[in-house]
Amino acid sequence: MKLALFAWKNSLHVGRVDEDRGVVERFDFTSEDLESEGVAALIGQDLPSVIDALPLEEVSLQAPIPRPRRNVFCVGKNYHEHAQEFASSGFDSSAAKGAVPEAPIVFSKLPESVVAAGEAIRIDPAVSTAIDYEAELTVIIGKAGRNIPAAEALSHVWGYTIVNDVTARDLQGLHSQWLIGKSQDSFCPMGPWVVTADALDLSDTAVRCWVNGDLRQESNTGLLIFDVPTIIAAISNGITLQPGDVIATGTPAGVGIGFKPPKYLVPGDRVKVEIGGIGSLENPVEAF
Amino acid sequence: MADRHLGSLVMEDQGQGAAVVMIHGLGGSSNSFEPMMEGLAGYRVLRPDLPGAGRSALRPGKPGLRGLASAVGDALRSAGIERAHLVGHSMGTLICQYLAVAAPERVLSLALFGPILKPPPAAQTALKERAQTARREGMAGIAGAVAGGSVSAASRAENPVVTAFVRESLMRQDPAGYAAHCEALSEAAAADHPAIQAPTLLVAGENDPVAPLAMAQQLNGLIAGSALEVIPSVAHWMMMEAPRRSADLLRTHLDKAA
Repeated sequence: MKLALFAWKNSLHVGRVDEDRGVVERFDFTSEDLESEGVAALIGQDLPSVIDALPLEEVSLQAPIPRPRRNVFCVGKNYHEHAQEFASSGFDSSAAKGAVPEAPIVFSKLPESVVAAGEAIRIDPAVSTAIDYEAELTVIIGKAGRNIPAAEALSHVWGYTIVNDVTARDLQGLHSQWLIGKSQDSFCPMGPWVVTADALDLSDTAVRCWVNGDLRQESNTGLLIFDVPTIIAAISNGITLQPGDVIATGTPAGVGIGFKPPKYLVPGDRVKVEIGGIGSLENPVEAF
Repeated sequence: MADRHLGSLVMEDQGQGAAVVMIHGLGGSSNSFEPMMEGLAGYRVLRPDLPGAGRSALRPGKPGLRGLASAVGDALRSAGIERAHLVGHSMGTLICQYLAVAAPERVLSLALFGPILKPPPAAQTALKERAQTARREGMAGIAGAVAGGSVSAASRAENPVVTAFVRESLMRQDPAGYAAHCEALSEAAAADHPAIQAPTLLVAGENDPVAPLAMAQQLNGLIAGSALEVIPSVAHWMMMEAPRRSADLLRTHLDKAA
């Protein structure tokens, strides 16, 4: 089931997307928290009834969780080939410990960096001249938990979405810690919606990314170094995960920094991330 | 008269003319405004039952007053209402204020009966407790207490039907919906008063223990150009306690603002 937050006639709603019919079924649902929580307001609720079906082209899809309650958790260097390409790029402050990490590298993005599908990734050359894309399967937590064993981790997952973990490589290197390079305004495109946990096969889901139609990343979530249960177990180790928490699981090889010379994003580019079973997240790149 | 349905939300739609939207308070329904209906000939009057009150089912989700306000906004859009006079009672006056701040171009005027600035700390605690009571014990006890405590002694003596009406209005509410509204009201923030541009009438009951006269006077100072009318010897349910006076005040206000 695909659950979307959308604006229609200047008002926010949540609903169920039916791509075959080209509609979103608007839920009979009231929440004062839609602006921030988005579809996460549905977590723990009975599935609402449907008011009506609106043509998808008449609604404006929003980021499914426009302002996560806290930072978006992210995992670095979590596909083998990407770990190699990043470790050899010169921007990897963790490279001394080897290309493939022993434990998940976890960093975060500020909630305010989230933007919707179709919204611009804004590039400010005064701040960074090395801005990169990263296609990532993203987990939405549905059930709170601390010290969650990997074997039980998937029962804490509510759904999945797509994040483009846009990164200023120069800032990522300069500051050693990755927060600034990862959290620039507009650097967390998220969407186009959330699929419920039952709808995805984590062992075999394609992850692809195109820039201006040029296929740059092509991999599969089956190739993650640390799989989703391992990531959830690692992050919840002493940190209580909360419903609505967002975890981006890392990006495969093919990011701009991996090319010689690097292929950074420039204004006018269009980045499209597609994950099988979810859909595609496309954003233009514009000058700040 | 017709009922309009938007999902589970029911809204009465009556008459022709400029739109007047009436938003009831905690434990109220479209019927809270019934005593004023005859005075509204020449207007199109829309009276939603808020989700969780009257005939509108409580929807999934934590509504909050802002969620209730957006539900009303959606109902008006679906009815094709571009601009409207807003009339509120009690908790409904906060929803009116939110709507007037959010979309000033859609609000022709405000008429707020028993207006609320925001619940004071003691009331916030009491509302949270009342939500628990409603869920645990149902509405009968609450209905008696509210009817006894929010109608003036003078009204009770002269017109005991008011007490019966209030008690009935409360007793027929869905306890879960009523509880959700208690919690929404207890957590409600004050509106951004300087952003309210619509001509505003405040109608206060002289002996209102729920929305005290002092609160109406405070709002009178906060909402630029607002007018305050005080109805003597009544408490919180002035539409029933002083139906003629309430209807006259509303009619005069609407005709002036039109």
